[in-house]
Amino acid sequence: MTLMPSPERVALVDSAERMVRERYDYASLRSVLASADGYSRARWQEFAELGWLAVPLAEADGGLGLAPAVASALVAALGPAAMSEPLPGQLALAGYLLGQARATPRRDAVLARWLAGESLLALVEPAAPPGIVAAPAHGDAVLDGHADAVLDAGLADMLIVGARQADGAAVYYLVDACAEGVTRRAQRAADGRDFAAVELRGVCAAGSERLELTAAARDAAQAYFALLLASESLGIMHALVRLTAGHLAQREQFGRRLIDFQELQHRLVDMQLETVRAESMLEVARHHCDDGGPGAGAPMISAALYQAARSGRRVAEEAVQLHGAIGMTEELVVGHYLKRIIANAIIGGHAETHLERAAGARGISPPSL
Amino acid sequence: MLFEAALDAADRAFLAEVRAFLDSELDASIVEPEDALRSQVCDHPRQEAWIERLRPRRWHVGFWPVEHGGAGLGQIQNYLLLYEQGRRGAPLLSPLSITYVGPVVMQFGTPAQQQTLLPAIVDGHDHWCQGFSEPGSGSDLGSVSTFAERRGDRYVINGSKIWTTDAHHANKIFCLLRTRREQSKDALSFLLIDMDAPGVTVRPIRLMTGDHEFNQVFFDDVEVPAENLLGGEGGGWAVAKYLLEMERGAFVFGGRLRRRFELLLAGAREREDVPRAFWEEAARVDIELMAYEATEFRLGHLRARDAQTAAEPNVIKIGWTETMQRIDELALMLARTEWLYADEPTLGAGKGGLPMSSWLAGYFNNRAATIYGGSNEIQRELIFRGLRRELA
Repeated sequence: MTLMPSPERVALVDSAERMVRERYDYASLRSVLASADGYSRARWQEFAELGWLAVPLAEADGGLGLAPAVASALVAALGPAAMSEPLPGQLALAGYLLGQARATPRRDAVLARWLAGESLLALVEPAAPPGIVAAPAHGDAVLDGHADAVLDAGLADMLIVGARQADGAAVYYLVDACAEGVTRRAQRAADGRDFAAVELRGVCAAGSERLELTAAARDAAQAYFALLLASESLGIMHALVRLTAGHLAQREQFGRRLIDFQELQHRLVDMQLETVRAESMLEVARHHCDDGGPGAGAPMISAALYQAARSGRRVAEEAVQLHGAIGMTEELVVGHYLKRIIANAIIGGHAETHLERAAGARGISPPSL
Repeated sequence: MLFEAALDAADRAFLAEVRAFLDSELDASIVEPEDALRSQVCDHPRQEAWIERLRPRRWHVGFWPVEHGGAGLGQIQNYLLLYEQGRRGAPLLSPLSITYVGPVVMQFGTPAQQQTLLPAIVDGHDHWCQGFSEPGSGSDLGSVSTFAERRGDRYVINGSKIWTTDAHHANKIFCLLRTRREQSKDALSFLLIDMDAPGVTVRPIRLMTGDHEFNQVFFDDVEVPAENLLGGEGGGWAVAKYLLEMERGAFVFGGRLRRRFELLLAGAREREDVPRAFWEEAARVDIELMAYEATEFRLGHLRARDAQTAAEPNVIKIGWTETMQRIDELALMLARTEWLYADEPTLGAGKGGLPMSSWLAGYFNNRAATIYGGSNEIQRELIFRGLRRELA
């Protein structure tokens, strides 16, 4: 582990930046969002061909075995696209999570299809009780329960269901999204992401579909997800600074370009300073995942997500402000960026909850009573 | 240190050496006591005592090249040395001689000047102060009007400099002066002057805390030999610019700020009347501080100085000053009436100042941080110019 980015990271970032530059623009994003799928299957296939899905997987599972810092840099480089292709959720809560489960023929087969870009998975594990209940049935299980706001559940063809047995033990099952007893209701988010409410009624889960997954591994996957959300927000911040500078440079009022007004110059600088701040905290988080993976880096990931949320909101709000009225419309990508940054501060655990976690881990609290 | 695990073997060994040195040399008589300093201006007796301990390894001038009397430390090792000292409460060394004069003499000085002036800094004989700002020239340094008239082999100086930190302790002053009566940049020159030259007067300035750190220095027909020019006549602006870049980029404040924050929290844990809002705000400041520490390292010290774009030192200057003020503001959340008159032990600049809690004095005195060293508005101006070039 060194202070400098690895060659693999540099190469992946280069290819991501090129794709964003050459192929992503707001007009095509809007038409993809309006389509039935809500994302581009062709693009997803391309990600698979480029090896991007292999980044978080161990080599033994056909992956590239790269550190979370690499996936983070990749997602940050794609940030300006603010895409609806479900990369952060799939890398962390599908690929990485499945990779942490004990290898079985069934698990391996599902993971291989995912890696090839032929399958999308969604983790269904509601936090609030009673959650999903797994009742035993001759070595198999019957699953019942409901989960709201499940990321990627509308797009997924396979679900990873986290349920509780009568004795309170957590169990995980692979469930076909179209299986008997599974109903899904789409909850398309304001930032273009796919969520769904999932209802399970008497869903049969065979013993062969069981995944062995520890709580620590599941927590590590959630931390990985938070890292990638913070990373995407960072990429969006960079894009907002560029976009706002461009707008100020071409918009004229009072006989001058807006960029000639010093106050606006300084506000642009403050946007840049917030971006530097968020990037620095993200580098700290990336570094702390190098040795022990995202689980070990979780407190710093929480700090990075908090910083990305706080800085991101300031940058995006200021970008809207400096664009004036057009920044408020859905015609400009600026509003989409603000929505995505706000969403990234919520869906991986609220930024304020992450702040509490970071503070707790770092002993920033009153002495215990 | 946040990126410690990624250091290479040589840097890791050096860090261990620094820590062992601090363990044995930074004793209670030298370390800043539990009360924080009232400002970022150092306490002189402690500074001198600490330099004595650093001197055998030349670590007081660690980044200076070996041929000029330094330890020749690379960027990262110099950062580690300064970070750890701050982290552990070693006295802050005044940058005036070590970080400002030394490097400009190395960059612009004649061999004779280098042979005389550099050893005098290394062995502690010379203590410099900075003659830049004037009553009429603060942010607009290029408009200085203190005049150095050439008469034969000497200059005769009339005018005054202000906000001169430590002029009352210094035996020498470096000045940016006007040598031609016009407004172009080549009308300015850089002169090195003895504080005990006839005609030099120092008047103390007291801050709102009553502390004496800054001064006004008056020059009445002060005669200075022409060989005390640095960078040639008309070369003053280039020297000043170089010095200002060093001023902003060379500081390593991350460790010092982290220590200050921890002292504040330790004090809060001993009290029973701390509002919950303090801990919530402390959690936010902690992350802002980590972000600053990481920014200082990766933007200021990870890459070679000449590989940096112009604006990185400015980002760092804004970073430490504004983060420091946030820590001061966090301290205010703990303020009690006693703080307004508490006669706590104070250090250095606090001597003679109004009795008040060091935290409160620190809050008042550190309002200057976003004003000195180039106001943060000027820093933003310079960052904007860099940004415009980068985004063009």
